[in-house]
Amino acid sequence: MKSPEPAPHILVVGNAPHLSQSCKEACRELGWKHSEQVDASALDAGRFDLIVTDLELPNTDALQLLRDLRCGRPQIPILVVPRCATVERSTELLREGATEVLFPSEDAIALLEALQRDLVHGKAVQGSGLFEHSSASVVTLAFRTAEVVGRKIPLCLAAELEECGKINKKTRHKLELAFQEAVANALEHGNLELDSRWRELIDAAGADKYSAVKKQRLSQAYYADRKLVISFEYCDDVFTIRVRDEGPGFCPPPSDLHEQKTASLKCSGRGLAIISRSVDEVSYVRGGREICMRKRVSCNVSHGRGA
Amino acid sequence: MDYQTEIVGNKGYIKIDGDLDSEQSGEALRKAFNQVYDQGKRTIILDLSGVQIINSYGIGKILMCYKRLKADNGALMVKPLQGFVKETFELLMLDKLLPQDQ
Repeated sequence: MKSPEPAPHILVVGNAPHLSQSCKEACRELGWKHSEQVDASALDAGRFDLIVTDLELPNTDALQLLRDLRCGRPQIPILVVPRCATVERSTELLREGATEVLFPSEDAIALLEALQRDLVHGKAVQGSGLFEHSSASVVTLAFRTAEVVGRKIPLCLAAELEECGKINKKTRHKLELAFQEAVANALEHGNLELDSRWRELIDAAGADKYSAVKKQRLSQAYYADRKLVISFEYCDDVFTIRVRDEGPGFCPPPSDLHEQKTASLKCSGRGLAIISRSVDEVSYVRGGREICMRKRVSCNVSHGRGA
Repeated sequence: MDYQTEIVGNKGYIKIDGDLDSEQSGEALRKAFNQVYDQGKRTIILDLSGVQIINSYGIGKILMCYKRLKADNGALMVKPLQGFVKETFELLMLDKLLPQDQ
């Protein structure tokens, strides 16, 4: 009989009680093991499945600490939750081996734009810039729902790809549309758990239930603090975009053509129809909490025709 | 997002300028539609030539206009589409649903 998989083991490195407590509670809920390290001189070299850190240890340089954590552990994801961060600082952290930076400031979208540009222009792939510690050219960033809802997160990698001649204008539009729909779905139907049918429930004052509940939930930490995680990957001329939420998940509808055709007159489902028609491959994991969209890009662009 | 409305004979015209991809722009479209609808016009023509970006939310608002007119035996039409908006309409086969006003 096969023995059960051991529970994942998380190491929290740093001196932030709030971060430590949050990780401890999350591990308890998930049934994971949890260890803490508050002394840089005795970094535990044991086997961990995830390292979470604010990079704040007494008398220790943050970047050196990150290098030390990464050294000898190329495959372990390192989530950095800095107490304060700028675009430049977060880029530096990713360059030094952070797998993901939870970026709490208003500049999060600017950081995402910068990383997408670097990804397209091959700095990551060539190992001359970002992610040289990472196995592939992957950008992953996490945002708080309340910080990005209602804001447009640009898919500037599509514009960069068009500029490089990798895709034509039509493909760029399709990629942008699919991305925006996936982000909107993750934020509104995932993290905020809003039901599209509420858009058609109008009260006596002319306000729809959807907008009212949305406003209410954005003021509640339970919903507002949920993360939106976006990742971009480029490998062998295939771009992969993943958008993950922390909502209850959902059961993806059948992707047959009839469903897509009839979706246009329903009060919901158009976003998924748009996505499935805009990229080459769509899949859902984590019980529908993560959508993975793949699009092959080619150097042989036929301008004016769809890719 | 800005809009202009105009009544010509028994038809109402709504011209949209800006992106149609947010609650604010959807609300603006609803106001524009009501202005024309409340004047008794049941054939309404949307001019989306000034729209750069449209998403499922914007399309949802357009379809609500379509449903209201259809319930009154009216019609929602569009001016010839182009670019991103045209591609999105084709993607969702809305070009088959909303006739073009030449």
